[in-house]
Amino acid sequence: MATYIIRRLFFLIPLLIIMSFIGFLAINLAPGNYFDTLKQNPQISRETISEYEAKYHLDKDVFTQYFYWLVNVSKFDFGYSFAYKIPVIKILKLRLFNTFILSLSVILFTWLIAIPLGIYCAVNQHKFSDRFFSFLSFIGLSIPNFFFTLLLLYFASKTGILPSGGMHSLGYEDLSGFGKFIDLSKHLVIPTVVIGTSGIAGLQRLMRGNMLEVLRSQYVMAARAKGLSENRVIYVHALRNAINPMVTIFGGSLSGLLSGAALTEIICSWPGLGSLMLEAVRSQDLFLFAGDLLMTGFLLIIGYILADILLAWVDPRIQYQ
Amino acid sequence: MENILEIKNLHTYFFSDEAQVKAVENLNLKVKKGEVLALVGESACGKSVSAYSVMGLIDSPGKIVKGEIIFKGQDLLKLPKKKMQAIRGQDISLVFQEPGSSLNPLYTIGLQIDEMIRAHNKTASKEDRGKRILELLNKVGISNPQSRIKDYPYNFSGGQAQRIMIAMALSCEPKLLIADEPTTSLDVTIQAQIMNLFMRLRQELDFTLILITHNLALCSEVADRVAIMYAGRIVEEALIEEIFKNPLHPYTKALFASIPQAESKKARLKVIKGAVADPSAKPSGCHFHPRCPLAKNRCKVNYPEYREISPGHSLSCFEI
Repeated sequence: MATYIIRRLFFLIPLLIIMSFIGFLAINLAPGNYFDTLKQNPQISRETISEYEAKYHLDKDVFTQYFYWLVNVSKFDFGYSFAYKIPVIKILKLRLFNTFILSLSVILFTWLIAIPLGIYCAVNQHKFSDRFFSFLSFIGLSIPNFFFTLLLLYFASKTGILPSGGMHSLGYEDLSGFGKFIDLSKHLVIPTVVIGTSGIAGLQRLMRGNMLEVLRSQYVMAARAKGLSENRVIYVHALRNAINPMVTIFGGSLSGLLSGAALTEIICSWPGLGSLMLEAVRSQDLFLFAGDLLMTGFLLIIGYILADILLAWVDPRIQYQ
Repeated sequence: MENILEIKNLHTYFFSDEAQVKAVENLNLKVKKGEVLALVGESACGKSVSAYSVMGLIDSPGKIVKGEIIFKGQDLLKLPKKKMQAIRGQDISLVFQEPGSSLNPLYTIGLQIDEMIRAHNKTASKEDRGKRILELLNKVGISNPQSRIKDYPYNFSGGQAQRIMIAMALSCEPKLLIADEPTTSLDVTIQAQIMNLFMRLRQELDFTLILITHNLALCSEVADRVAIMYAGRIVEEALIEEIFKNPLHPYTKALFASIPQAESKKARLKVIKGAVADPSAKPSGCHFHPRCPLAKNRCKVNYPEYREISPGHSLSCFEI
């Protein structure tokens, strides 16, 4: 198991290299770079700009640029953000933390609601409650996230119950520890609900489907034939089998959150990795973009490795060599 | 001899939006205490559904529409759920067709036997249960049981898994064991081993066995009595010697005729012409009439009454 994890982590390196190179190539294909904006500024001299370009090797071709960047990254130096005028690593750290908080909140929200709801609907298949929740799920799935966000933001600004966007209130720094927590939680509500709703809907359907399939399997009937109580049949025998495929999805959902959350982060002005990516691309902030891409990719792969480990833990049939 | 189980007028239907499938229709069957009764029929003739009906395992969209299942003087269909749950496994046990898919893949076999003993005997201590599991596994011929109770189902072959299922089914010493095609998914040598095991255990533990099968050769070796099922009904019932010597119902005759004979290698294998009656659209009258060589007009209109033609030999056919 340990060797398996080490090997998986080792394979992470070439994957990240390929991914970041494609990213580098893509942003270089876009016309111009960050300094083209500076060149139009008469207060900055040509010499200063060429000096910058030389310093960051931007006057060279894309392969050389990438090579220098890679060498620096291997020393944990992610370069310098042109737009923020600080090292990229500092921005990433902060943004990663913010995205982590949002992701954690979304994961808790979705999974704690979707899994029990899926089980409930499967056990009560075709009854009114099952149909009702299925109907809600389809609404949740079909409502576009950005529209839902705007709807909630409108509601927030009209009623004033919830803050409309951002991560902290104005006087955040003066609040006590508990006050800070409450303030952050309030800001989390809208993005969490928005990102979570479509997630709950999909997961609920999946969990319901898995559960229905398992409930029809022969070992569940065999468990009933043994004279076990219905609770034991459902929650010990069926559930354990139905939850297994969800573990793989859990890993995937970590990555899905990072990309899927971008739009919501932008609309809710949540300072996470997703909205950072957009800013970086727009201002052609090369190193910030590359760093952000690397970080997102890293999290994605870690998500899948985590899922594999979890799966081996819950399913005795899976053994990694 | 006293009857351990009596099924009267049992109707089990499955409902869907398009059709109503009459899986079991007007089933009447008496099972004598201590005997081995073989329930024989083609696939989809309602054998398994009959077994599930007895076990109370018919679930939506299936429903027992009417009938009585008398076991130990009480109608199982009228029992509250909790009481029926206590009977399942304790008094009547079921061994399924595919051992591989009857064991939960995520739990050790030790746990799966243990939970059954615990469900029916709440006072047994952990040590007692552990001893009992080892004893059971020994009895069904799992070698080195001590080291295998912590193994998962995927560690066992099909034959071993069926032995474990049998051990489990017998863990609470049931009076009646229903084996639903217990050897169908196993290869021939293992089939013989498993049948021998059944017969040996029956002598040791003294239970009544209903053996559901489509294998007539198997019946001749183990069964005391045979009931032949076609399209959800029993069409003929007799002692084993009688049915082999003197099969009367055209369907039973056809079944015997279709057993491959080693001597007549060159002759083509005899088959029953036509296809098994579609349970959602059974033929009118006698369900067998489209395939029957004796069919007359009245067979298409009415279902022949089930009658006893000689002591212990009953059938439903107008033409005999």
